[in-house]
Amino acid sequence: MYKLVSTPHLPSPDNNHTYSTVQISPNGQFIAIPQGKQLQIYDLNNELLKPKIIQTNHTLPISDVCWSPDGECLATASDDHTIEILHVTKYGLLHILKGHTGPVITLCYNSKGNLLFSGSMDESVKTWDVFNGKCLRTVSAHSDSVVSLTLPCHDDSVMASGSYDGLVRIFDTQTGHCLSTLTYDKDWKHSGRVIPITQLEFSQNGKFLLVKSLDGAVKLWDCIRGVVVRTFVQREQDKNNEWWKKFSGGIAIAYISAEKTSQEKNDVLVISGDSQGVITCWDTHTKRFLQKIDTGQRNPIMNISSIGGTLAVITRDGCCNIYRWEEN
Amino acid sequence: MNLLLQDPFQVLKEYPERLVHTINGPVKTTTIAFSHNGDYLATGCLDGTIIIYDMDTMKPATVLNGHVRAIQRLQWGPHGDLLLSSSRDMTVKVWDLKLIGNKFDIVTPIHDLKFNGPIWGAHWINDNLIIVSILEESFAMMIDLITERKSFLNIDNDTPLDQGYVLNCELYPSSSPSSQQDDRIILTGSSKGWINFFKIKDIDTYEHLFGTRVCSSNIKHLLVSQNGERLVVNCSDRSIRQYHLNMVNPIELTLEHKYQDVINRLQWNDIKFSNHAAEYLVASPHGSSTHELYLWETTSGSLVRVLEGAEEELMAIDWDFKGMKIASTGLETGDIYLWSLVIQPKWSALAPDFEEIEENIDYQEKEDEFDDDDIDDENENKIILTKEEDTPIDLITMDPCDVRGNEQVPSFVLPIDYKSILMVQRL
Repeated sequence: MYKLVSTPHLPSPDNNHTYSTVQISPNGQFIAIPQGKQLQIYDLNNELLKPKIIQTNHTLPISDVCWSPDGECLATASDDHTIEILHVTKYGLLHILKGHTGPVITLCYNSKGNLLFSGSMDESVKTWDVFNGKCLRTVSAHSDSVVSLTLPCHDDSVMASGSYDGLVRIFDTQTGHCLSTLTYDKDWKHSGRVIPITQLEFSQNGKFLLVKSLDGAVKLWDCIRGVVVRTFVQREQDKNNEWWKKFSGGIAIAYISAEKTSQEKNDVLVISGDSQGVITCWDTHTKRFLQKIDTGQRNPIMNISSIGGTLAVITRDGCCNIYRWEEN
Repeated sequence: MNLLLQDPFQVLKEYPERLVHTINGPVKTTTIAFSHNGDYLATGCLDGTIIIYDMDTMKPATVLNGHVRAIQRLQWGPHGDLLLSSSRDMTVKVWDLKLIGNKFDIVTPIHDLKFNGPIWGAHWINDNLIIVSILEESFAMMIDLITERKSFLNIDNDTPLDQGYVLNCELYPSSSPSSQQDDRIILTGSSKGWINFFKIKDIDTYEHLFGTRVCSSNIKHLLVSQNGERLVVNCSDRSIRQYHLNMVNPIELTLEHKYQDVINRLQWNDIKFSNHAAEYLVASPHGSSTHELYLWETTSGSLVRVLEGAEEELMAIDWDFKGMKIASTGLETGDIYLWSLVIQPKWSALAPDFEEIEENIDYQEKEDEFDDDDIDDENENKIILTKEEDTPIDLITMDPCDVRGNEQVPSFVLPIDYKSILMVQRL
């Protein structure tokens, strides 16, 4: 069961920023929240400390941040078409990556931390060399904004991209070739329209891909065979709620393996936020509903970041909650 | 995992085919070694510099300075985080690659071992024990890395034979590569064609198992296949001898093939086996007229491929089994040539409804293809769907082997040196 431990960031009434993401650092100690053109870094071990504020050179707000796997750097993607790589503790700005021709929406490091992938509203995915800041490859295989990128945590050979054109594509990171496309083909046949993808997450072994689309559906795909193996749906009683039907863009998913379970095997949960500030957790294997977390904010959940048993959640107006898994 | 999604007929080719990349090093490269997962390529240079290339970007990831003469041999440690370098400057150094980018400005070796002559090569036996072959020494030397104590690997023979000098060593593969409890078997090759087998427990406890003479000239290289059943010996008498190795008591060697260039009578600069049972053998021929690598099938002994594309004589070779790459260094420029598989893009992957076909297929309408009611169809889909949703899935466990059957080992990641990023930017 997830228990609320703290709320490091509260929405301030005079603040008219919208928040897009929160990211836990790989060691689980820090969280990074972009606020406009600056970054706020909170130390979770010391709640009383004021956040460290890092100013960036971006001229427009930051839409995504990503920690490097060694936890020393943050990459920021901005609406001004650029990406910055900042060394958090010591060296400051390392690179400004220029090349995209539209706002940059999503970022993802590979597990070695030597490559950075970025997806943009210019419909392309670029691969950057972190050492010299040069663009190594541009892949244009989508026909709308690329909004989510993910790589398996132990395997740098593949990358998955999700786009507003409704496609999820898997690419070979070494060649840039498309290896497979997972689509909602059957769904489109009945609904008659394309459903944009909003977020992706690989399973730990990289064999499965969790996909969330704008209609709020959460599906787990078997990447190798290209079939859906689990579909997570709202409970019937929640389904009748009016708000469930008008799912907005305020959705996020996280995929975690809880370590503190009483069973011998690790529990794998699928977590999904909705547009009314409510988070739902399911058991991945049985699809059993486990927990409903209400943030209390009637505001869309923008992102969920999960490492081990810790969960960081942010709503659009900037309320950031930290939850920890506890066995009851 | 990318290989699982590729065309299996393209992925499962057994050896690289095309020259895909050339790395122009700043200094002439003399020796190369791929890291265990093929993520990095360590290269030793003529002036003693060691450059580690990142194989994703083909750019140098780090430079290790310390040696002052040409590097003879490089070997990655059992866990991939240490690098053992042997040089003609009479030293063997052990580098801890975890120290890159930390508070020290320059990475210095954690062990710096001095000897009385230039080094032919150094080999890991286990985490704490290495074996070194030194110029004009009749025996190989073992070094305990904890105490830095040195001891010769003597043959306690009643009738001392002049076996010449030890030129190289090879570790017999074991199932648990880094375990220190197990005895390890070491092979040494001498300048008079002798091969000796030793069983080593620690620096003081070892046993000479077997010795035999395979030729009357220098043994330049000695390799044992991953499954331990094949031995190949490159001698300076212009031939490569391939033996079947039977580790009974006494050890049996059966000559399987002898590879020779009968027309040009060439020596061989370097040799490498393929993985597992070593079904292939690759060699670089000596002489300025040949610019290729030769690749033989070891069961039949027939030449199956000539790797072309380099514009000079090739020297050192290494084979990355995970990425299916062969790297070789050029004699004149010192450039590093890389051969690999070229997998064609699968265009049908972009649109799953389309299928790539070899030739035109005549269209034939099925009985119910344009029937209006697809209720049956939908029901069928539903049944398939529910079946899928009930099958147990495992999201955590990785496959123990990759598609090519190579064991998946935890990869070591070189720390990123942020100081050098800033330095490069200021230039």
